[in-house]
This record gives sequence, structure tokens and C-alpha cells, in this order.
Amino acid sequence: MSSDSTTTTDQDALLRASIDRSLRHPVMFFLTSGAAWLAVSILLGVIASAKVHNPGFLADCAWLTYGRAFPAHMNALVYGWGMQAAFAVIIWLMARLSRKECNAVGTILAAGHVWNLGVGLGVVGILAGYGTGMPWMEFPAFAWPVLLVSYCAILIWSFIQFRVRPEGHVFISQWYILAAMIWFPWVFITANTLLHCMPGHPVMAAGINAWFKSAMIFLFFTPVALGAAYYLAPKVTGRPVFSYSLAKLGFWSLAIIAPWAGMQKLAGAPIPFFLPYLGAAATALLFIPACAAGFNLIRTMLSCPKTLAESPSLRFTMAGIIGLAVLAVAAVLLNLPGSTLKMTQFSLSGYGFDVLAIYGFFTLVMFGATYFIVPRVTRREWLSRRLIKMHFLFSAYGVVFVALIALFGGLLQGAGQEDWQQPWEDAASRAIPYAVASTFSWSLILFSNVFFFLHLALMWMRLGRRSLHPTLLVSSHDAHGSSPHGEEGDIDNAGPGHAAAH
Amino acid sequence: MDPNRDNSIIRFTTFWWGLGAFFIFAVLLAVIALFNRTKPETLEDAVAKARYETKAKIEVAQAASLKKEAVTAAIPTVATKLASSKPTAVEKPEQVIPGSPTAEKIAAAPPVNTAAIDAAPAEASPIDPAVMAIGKVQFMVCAACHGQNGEGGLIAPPLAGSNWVDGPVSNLIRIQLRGLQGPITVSGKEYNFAAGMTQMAYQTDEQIAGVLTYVRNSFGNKASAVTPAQVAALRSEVGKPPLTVQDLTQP
Repeated sequence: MSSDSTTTTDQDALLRASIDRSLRHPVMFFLTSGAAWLAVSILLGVIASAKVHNPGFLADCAWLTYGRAFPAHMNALVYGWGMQAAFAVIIWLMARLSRKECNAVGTILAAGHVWNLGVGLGVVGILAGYGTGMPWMEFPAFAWPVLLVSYCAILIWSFIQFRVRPEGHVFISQWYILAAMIWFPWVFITANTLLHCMPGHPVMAAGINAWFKSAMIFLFFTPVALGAAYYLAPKVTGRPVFSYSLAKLGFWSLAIIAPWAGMQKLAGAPIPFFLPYLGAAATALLFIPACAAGFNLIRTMLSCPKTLAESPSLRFTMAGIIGLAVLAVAAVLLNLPGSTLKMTQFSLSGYGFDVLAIYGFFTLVMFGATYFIVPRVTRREWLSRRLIKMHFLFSAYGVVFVALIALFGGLLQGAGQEDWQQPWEDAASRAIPYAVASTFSWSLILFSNVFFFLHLALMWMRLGRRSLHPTLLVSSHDAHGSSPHGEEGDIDNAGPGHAAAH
Repeated sequence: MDPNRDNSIIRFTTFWWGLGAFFIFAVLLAVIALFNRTKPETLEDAVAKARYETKAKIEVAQAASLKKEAVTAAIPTVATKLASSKPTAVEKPEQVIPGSPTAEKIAAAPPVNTAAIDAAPAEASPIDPAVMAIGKVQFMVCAACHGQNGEGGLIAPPLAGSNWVDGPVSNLIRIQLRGLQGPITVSGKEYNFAAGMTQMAYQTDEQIAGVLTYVRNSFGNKASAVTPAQVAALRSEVGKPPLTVQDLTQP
């Protein structure tokens, strides 16, 4: 194009294209290796879940005993998939919203490899029997400094991009992402330093560990997912966010309430009595930020029902936000001090809550973001509508089964444990049908995510469709002219009716 | 907004500010750790405090009452005593190691004189039913090999009508205390069982007297009662190797 015909819109499009090009390999690296870890994690989850109802399964292999397979499953899910998906979304969103190209691709890729090495050695360490036994921190102690340093090397550049952004306005997504970027080192350093370097009383250590788990969910994964959703919902529908003040309420109530949550896991343990009940109250109060953000985002997405039906990004995001609403209800229902709190202590329900948060909410929003980001950074369209549909079907319904089953099965199991005159075996046997269903659902999720990984890998190799029409969930012939991703041929367009894209 | 905001100085300072923001809690924790170096007190430590105080008091009291010179002076005396003392050989039969010098010494001991015991007159000629009851209970063990009615079996000779049962009392007591091996002729018929009979020395004097009295007065046998005193007189036999028929007094 000649320089005299270059308008502001063209310059914007060029800038977006150059940002996307600069981030192609870091984003695809994190998403693809994250998806591979997700498949590994779910495989370990299937093995662990199968052992609950079928203890003889793989029983003669010490590396795959329940006490090793289960923590390896959770840690691969959190650090292998969750963190890496968050990296991909954070570096891309921050660059786009701050309108800055990435200048440190080499450093980010190198640090990404170090991160994967740390996670890999950590998982092998757990399977070899060197796990620390602290939930979500089972990696042997060598791993956490490695992860921390590579975290800083990956995300410091997004921090700089935010600082040198040309505009004064800060988008809602940026609030959440910036907060998550700073909260993660706080939570991670505090928990790891207190538990590995300054060991105090072991009961208090268990409390710190429970707080770490909760803080990882509500101070990192939740803000990252909400940041992505607050970007996708207005961007794909082409409508403004429903209520700006509701978004403010959601953000600040999360920032104020979430750090107090977590210690309810130790209700009844010999730690200062107010701590577990403070944690239970804070977790129940998280209903407020979750509902503020959930209502706001759902209203925004419902403003354009046709796009919601057609766009894979929006469909996954919507499912994730519904997962957030269910998570908010579960946070209230599982923390009623008089009735349910004691049933959650040693039962499946805590696992159900974790899976709901990590998979039912965070991961589904990350899938939504993936379906939006990948065509832009690779400049290719997704290969197959059916693969996306299948991925959605198995992921959404699978996680509904796994999480609800674990929540309710866990409560029944907890009720059985409360009956102290019956043998413990009775309580355990109450959970068996739920464990069988859980294994089955994890297998479905595994099946869909293996194909998701292959689909992503093909996209990274730029074997996607060289088309100007985005892959929608309806036949592309019907979608002409009303594409939620913009006019034909403009992959970077923010959508109809949205002049200035971020 | 200033278009020159994105310059290398701002990028550089932001890099360090960012790292600082990421690590601010590490710094805070390091400060806390630096000024809070007392070891955490666990419940176990709190409970043990009283014990440690008592221990310290006792040590002080001991040091006051037991002078170091007294301890030093006592050492040669105690050492000489210890050096001159010798361990005494164990003579208890259940503690003697088979094949050891003590066991050989016991085996080589001269045979006991059984004549006095065999000659002891039977006490009351009617048999005491209480003794028979004790014997009947103990005979449950014997019956395993010798048969419920003393008829003998595949691994033991008969007791009913046996010339040995009616014979000298000392034979029966010694067999009970030492066991019996090798061939034996019972009422004209020769028996030879590989396993022999094991000793029953664990039984009390009353029990051995009871069972022998029972055997000597059942299954058609009729002989004098055996008294606990007779058994006690032969207790020195315990621990010696099993008898053979040559060791017995011929009936």
C-alpha cells in the first residue's frame, strides 16, 4: 500500500500484525507444550482415578502407585498446562493491549524451555518417589527456584510493555493480568520460602500449603481467565462491556477477599481457631467477585446471540464463565461451618472444587482464548470445525461430570466418615460409583485433548487452512458477511461495529 | 501521552522495578527471617521444659554429693573386683546348650540310684480319685500316640497289660523326664519306633505322678500309686539325653 493512502486503521492493522508475528513462537510454544502436559496430566489422572475403584490396577508398578500418580497429575495440570496457557495468554494480551511488539522472544523461549525442563524433572521426581507431600507443591525442592526464575524471565517483558504503553487508558483485561503477574510471585515465593527455607510448626505448614492452593486458584488462575474473558467477550461480539462499574467491583472485591481464603482446609486442626473460619468466610464471600464478573461477562456475550452460537472462542468462554458461576456456588455450599465444612476435610469434594476451578473455569476460558489467538499469530485458520466441536463437547460435558461427581460423591463420603461408629471402609465404598464415573469422564476428556494437541501442533507448523474465512461452528457458507471475526479477508478486524480495536 | 515514553532508560528501569515488584515479598520474608531467628517452640518442647529443669537440678545435686575425687578413688577397687569375678556356669537344664561341655558333664554324671525309689512302699492302698482325675486329664497327651485305651498304635507300644507299666516306678518317671529311644520288648513283643518317645519334663511333679498312677491303674493294669515326692527325687535326670532300654531297670 502506498504511504499516502495509509490511514490510522491500516497502521493499526500493521501494528497488530507485527505484534502477532513477533509473538508467534513463544505463544505457540507455550500453548502446544501446555496441551501436551494437559494430555499427560489427564492420563495420570485417569490412572489415579482408576485406582480408587480398582486398587489392583497397575499395582505392581511402584512409579504409578496412587500416592505418586495423583500428585503428578495435579502438578502437571497446574504447572505444565495451567501456568503455560496463562503465559501464552498473558504475553499476547499484554502486547496487544499495550500495543508493543515483543523484543525478547529469544529470552522468553529459552525461559519457556527451562520451565518445561523444571516441570518435567519435577514430575519425574514425584513419580520416582521424591515428592514433598505438600499438595500442589509436590515437586522436589530443587524445582521451585527454577520455576520462579523462568517465570520472571518470561513475564518481565509484559511488565515493561505495560509500563511503556503509549496510551494512558488501562483496559479491564490489563487490571486482571497485571494483578495476576504480581500476585503469583507473591504467593509462590511466600509459600515456598516459608515451607522450604523457614520450616516452622508442621500443622501451620499444612495451613500455609492450603492457603497456597487457594491463592493459586483465586489470585492467579482466576484473574488470568477473567482478563482473557474480558478481552474476548467485547472483542468477538463487537459490543462494549456491559457495566464498567460492575467490573471494578468484581476486580477489587477479588483483590480484597481472595488473599484471606484457603485455611478452611484445617478446620478442627490445632492452629489458631479463627484462621480456618476466616478462610471459610472468605471463600464463601468469593461469590461476590465471581458473580460480578460472571454476570457482567454473560450479559456482554448475550448481547450478540448469533455470534455466541457461531464462534468457538465465545462458546468456550461462555462455558468457562458458567463454570465460574458454579464454582462460586460450590464455594458457598462447601464452606457452611455448621453442615458441610467438616465433610470436605478428607473427601473427594476438595478435588472436585480444584478440578472445577482449574478445568471447568480456567481451562475452558483458555481454550476460548486459544481458538482466538492461534489463527492470529499463525495467520492460518483452524483446520476442522468438527475437531473443535468434539473438543468442546467432551471437555465441557466431561468436566461437568468429573467436578459435580467429585463434589457430591465427596460430600456423601464425608457424611459417611462423620458416622464414627461405622468402619471407615463404609465411607470409602460410598465413593466407588462416583470414582468409576470420574474415570470414564477423564477418559473422554483425554480423548478430546489428544486431538486438541494435534490440532494445535498442525497450526504451529502453519498447516492450517490458508483461508480468509474464520473457522466457525456453522457452515462457513452461511456466515458470509456476518463473521464475528470481522469482514472477509481481515483476520485482525475487531468485528463489525467496532472501529478502534485494541 | 508522551510519544517518547518508550525509551531504553524507561525500559531498563522498569525491568528492575518489575523484578523488585515480583520479589518484594521475598525481601520482606528475608527481613522477617533475619530478625526472627528464634527456633519455633513446638508442643513437645513446651512439655519437655519441666523435664529439662528437673534433669538440671538432679545433675547439680549429683555433682554436689558425689565428689570427683571419690569417684576416681573408687575406680581401682571396682575394677579389681570386676576383673577377679568369673561367670558361673549355667546348670539349669533348659539353658544348657546341647553338645556343650556342661551338657557332656551332665550326661557323664553317674546314674542315679533308683533302688530307694522303687523300694518305697505304696502309700494308701486305695487309689485317690483326685489323683486319678489329674492323671486322666494329662493322659489326653499320651493318648495321641498310645491310644485312648492304652492299646498302642503305629508309633507307640501298648500300655494296657505292659510289663513295664506294672514294673519299677523309677523307669516310668525317668522315661517321662528324659524320653526313650531304641528297641524295647513289651510283654514279649519287640517294638522299635524311629521317633522314640519325647521327654515330658514340663509337667509338674503332681501331674507326672497323677498320669503314671492313672496309667498303672487303668486299661486292666493294677499297680501302686506314684507320689510327687518320687518324681521330685528324680528331677536331676532332666536335661540328660534320652534313655535307651539298657538304662532302665529290667522289670
